[in-house]
Amino acid sequence: MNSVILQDLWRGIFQENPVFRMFMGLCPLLGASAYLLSGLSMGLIFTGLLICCNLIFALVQGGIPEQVRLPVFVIISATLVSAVDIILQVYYSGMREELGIYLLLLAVNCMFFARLEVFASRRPLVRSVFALLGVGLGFTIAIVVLAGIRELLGTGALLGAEVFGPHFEPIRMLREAPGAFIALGLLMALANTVYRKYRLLDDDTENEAGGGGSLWNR
Amino acid sequence: MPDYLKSALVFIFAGIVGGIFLTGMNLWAEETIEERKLQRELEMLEDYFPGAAGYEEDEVEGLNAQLVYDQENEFLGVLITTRQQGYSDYIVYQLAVDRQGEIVGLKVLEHEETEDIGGVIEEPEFREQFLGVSFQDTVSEKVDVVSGATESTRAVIDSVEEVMEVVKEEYLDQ
Repeated sequence: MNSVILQDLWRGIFQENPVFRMFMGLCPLLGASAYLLSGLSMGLIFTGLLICCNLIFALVQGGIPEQVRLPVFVIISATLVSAVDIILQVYYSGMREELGIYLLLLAVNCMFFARLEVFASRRPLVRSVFALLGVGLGFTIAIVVLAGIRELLGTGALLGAEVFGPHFEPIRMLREAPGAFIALGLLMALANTVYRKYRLLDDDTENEAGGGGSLWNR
Repeated sequence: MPDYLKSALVFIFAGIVGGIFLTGMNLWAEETIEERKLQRELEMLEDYFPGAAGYEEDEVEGLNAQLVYDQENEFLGVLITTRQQGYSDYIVYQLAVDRQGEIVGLKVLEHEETEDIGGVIEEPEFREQFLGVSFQDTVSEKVDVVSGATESTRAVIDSVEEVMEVVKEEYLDQ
């Protein structure tokens, strides 16, 4: 394995985690994280979609004039998201109801566009696939952690299995949208502490992001 | 070919390809999705009307009605899904009335009432009072308001009374 590729992968997961560092993809993150299983599903779907979009885009981008690149890209991502929606309706209709509108909203998620505009259209295919895999995994980890906390404290159960026993009083607010924001805020504070330890925050002195260049900048 | 024309063509082409792809997906999935929906509805209807084998959707006076039939296409009854302003927000519920005009089921689907107070509308003790109430009865005479949760229970009772009027006029007069 090429070390640049691994570096890109790791950068998406940790150093430039889309949620904790870039504050991107918060809509599906907050919307689909009430339960661990829906969070995990959203994370995996998100990762899969990112990579599929990238592959298709890489195949066709040579023929697309600059002016319509973004519109065509919207068509590609919307088509794929709708396809996933249909597949879920057939094989996993319960989860489709759980994810609701947030699944369809992935079609216009900023991360898709940012990643493809900035990165995928300018780097070799293999590298961009692994970089996107990293970003997808970074998102998945974030949503799984958030959903785990929300389900655990919001219902006293994890994956539907009771953890704390009958005397535990669930924090019901965590299941609702305001609770999601608060939990995410606390989680970000925690993440910032970790990042500070590795001197990665913007206000820290020169971070070590050099190398292959940031995933998010041109 | 001018640039703008090429751009437009590429864009239209992408749209067509996407459209065709999704049409194909839809054709492939349509049957399964419809089947599953019917299955789910029938399972739900079976709770109220044993032997339910098919239904027909209808809408009267803003009420969502499902006319339920059995295998021989015999009319079994009607399931009404509607909502009523409760204490804090709308209460969404289902009311099942059989062909004799008796209530055979009431289920609250959604509500935002205070859990330990208005929440009684979800409890069997409250809901079961409705069972057997006929269209000839006055619902508010047969079902008691729960003290402490007057507004929530009163809302359901009044709403059921109104729904029964509609059901009587629309479906039971034959």
